[in-house]
Amino acid sequence: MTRLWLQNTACTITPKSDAQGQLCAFTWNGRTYHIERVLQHWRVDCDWWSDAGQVSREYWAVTTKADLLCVLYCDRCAQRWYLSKVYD
Amino acid sequence: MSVACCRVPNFLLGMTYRHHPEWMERPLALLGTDEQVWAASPEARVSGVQVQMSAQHARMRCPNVWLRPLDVQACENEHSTLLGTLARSGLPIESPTWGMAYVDMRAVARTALAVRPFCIELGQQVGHALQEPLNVSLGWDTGKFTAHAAAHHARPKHARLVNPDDELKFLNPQPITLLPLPSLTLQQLDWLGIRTLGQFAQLPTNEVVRRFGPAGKYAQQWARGHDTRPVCATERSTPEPIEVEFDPPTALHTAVLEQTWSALQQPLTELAQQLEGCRRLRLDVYFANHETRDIHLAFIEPLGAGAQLRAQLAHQLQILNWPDEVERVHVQVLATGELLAQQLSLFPLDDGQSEMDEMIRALCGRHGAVLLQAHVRDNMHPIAERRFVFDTLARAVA
Amino acid sequence: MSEPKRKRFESALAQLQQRFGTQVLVPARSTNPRPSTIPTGFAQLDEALGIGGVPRRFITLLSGRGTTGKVTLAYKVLSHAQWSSKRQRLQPVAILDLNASSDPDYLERCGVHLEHLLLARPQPTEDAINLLMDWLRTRPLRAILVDNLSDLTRQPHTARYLAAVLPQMQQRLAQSSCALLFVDDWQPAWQSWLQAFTPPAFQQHAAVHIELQHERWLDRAGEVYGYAARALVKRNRWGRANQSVSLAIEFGETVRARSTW
Repeated sequence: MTRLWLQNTACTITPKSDAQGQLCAFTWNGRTYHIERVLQHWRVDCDWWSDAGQVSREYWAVTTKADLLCVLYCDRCAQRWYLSKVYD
Repeated sequence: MSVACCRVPNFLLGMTYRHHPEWMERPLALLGTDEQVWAASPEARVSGVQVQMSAQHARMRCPNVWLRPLDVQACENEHSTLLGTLARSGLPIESPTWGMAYVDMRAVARTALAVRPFCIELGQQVGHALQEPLNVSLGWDTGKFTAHAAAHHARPKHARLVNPDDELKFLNPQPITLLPLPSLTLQQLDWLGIRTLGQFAQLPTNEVVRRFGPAGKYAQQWARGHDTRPVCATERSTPEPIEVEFDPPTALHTAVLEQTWSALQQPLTELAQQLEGCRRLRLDVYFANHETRDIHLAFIEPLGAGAQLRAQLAHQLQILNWPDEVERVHVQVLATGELLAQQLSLFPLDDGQSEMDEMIRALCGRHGAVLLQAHVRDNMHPIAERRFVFDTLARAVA
Repeated sequence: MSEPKRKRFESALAQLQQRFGTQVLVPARSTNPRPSTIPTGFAQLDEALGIGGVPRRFITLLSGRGTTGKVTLAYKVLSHAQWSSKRQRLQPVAILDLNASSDPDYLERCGVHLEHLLLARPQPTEDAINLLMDWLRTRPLRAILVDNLSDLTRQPHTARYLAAVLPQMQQRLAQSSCALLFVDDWQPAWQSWLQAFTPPAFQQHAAVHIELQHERWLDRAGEVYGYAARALVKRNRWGRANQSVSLAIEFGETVRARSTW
């Protein structure tokens, strides 16, 4: 995870799902990346006790057809998508 | 305000005629580094050659024009001489273009009568410093534009001081081309029959703004004698040259170094008080057999009266070929610059302080807000951005 | 050399030095043009470079698309720069993080000691270049990473400023013991064309230019544990250019792995 963007920075993404509702592509910085493989999919619910604020997120670690390895997440509270990391 | 404008008419042409007098009275256009016309002789201007024209365009306008490259280095050197002479007065100097400079004279006097002897002295000094065929003309007023117009109006080797009461009387008949307006705007005004500053000043302000925008508004204010722009000092004064005599002449390297160094101490200390240091230094070493050697020292960053400058001096004297004993050394600080934040580390530091802390202290003054240090807080936290924290170093140092 | 001959030689040398200064004659070994280097952490790449790593006192450019390992390679160099000192203590390094995306957790996994890492996140303007110049001036830094060049050259006026100060930057670099690394993201040709000071123009100033390309994913039983990247040395002042080697970036090996993404 050599590029890590903090939440609410300009790295918001627009996901695209296929007919089965599976994540198949996302658009970031005006460019569409087609997902080749979902490596891992997990959910995080934590820090409800913390001053930093409660977190409820759904994560996807994916590789794209442009050979990008990245981690995306959906903020379940705000129902918004973000790019968390791009490996480089 | 009290501003003097020092102007060398036809600076670029004058510099060229100095080396090529045979080019005088010919249609001549001087090409700059961008291959465009930077200056044109009156003979070329009559045929329609204008500044900022391409060489091809100039030749189309005037087929027999002489297109010659401008000696940029010589012009820069002469311009430096002009600024150096003015800077010796210790007053703030602003140079908007080659061969022209504004001098802020508020520290000297604020009336035409009181400023007169100083203007004459200044003009004479510049006149002596510049070589033929360059001449200087001076203008003085309470604003920059009128001072500039006065310098244009004055004949070479003369000064025109404008009394504030007579300002409008002086400005009204002056040509409108003195205003720094685009040529198209000046042409439009000419078609409208507006050819003097007085005519332009009388136009309704609203109409001027509507037609020519904010530039027109400011131009009209200047034409009415209202110019509040301050002189923004762009040139620094350099210390006076120093002569170090050796009687009897000496061949001892250490003696030359020590005496030269001690002579340099005072100007360097004075510069340091203004947070400035030496950027370029020139030493002319005169030997008993009448030979001369010069040493040029240029530093990437300005140096104060520290060991680094002394070491450079010692090294240069050591590698210099000495044909005989040294009689005299002429030292001149050619350029100065602001001592940089790094030199704040001259203050004593704790023995145990690491290089990192020392560097952070040196940089925080200039870049504190953007310097960070990271600490991993919980490297197993499921949220990547909550595994670490950033500390602002400006706060850490404070 | 016989004793009388050696004495004659020393006497002649002393005379010359007395007349023309101590620097008039220096031993040939002290003019060795090979620069001091910092290992990259990838032995095959060090070998391909011919000098054993990335050079100090010069600019090194690492370019490539995303997930080609250029930033990991740069972090590895920073990690080795922290240790590459005869003084047996950690040396400071710095990152000019222009897109504000450096991950301290990953840096630590790459072996970088965070307490000896200075991170700056300025706006990609002239201020960032001035900060870089100040870093070079302060000397103690052993390596500086600029992440990344595209951000720095996005604004035309900043790009022009960078082009103007590059000679001075190289001069300062030559007087330090620091390696200056620029990471450059791949960008479409039209975008490069729009920029005033494009990466191709910058490449002329780099002593070493390594371009990284993604080769393949490394997977074991269907699980990706890293990727292979091809490092092509496109420019090398001290060795042959166009050498290429394959680098394996494994999350369990190259980067200390943890059970967290």
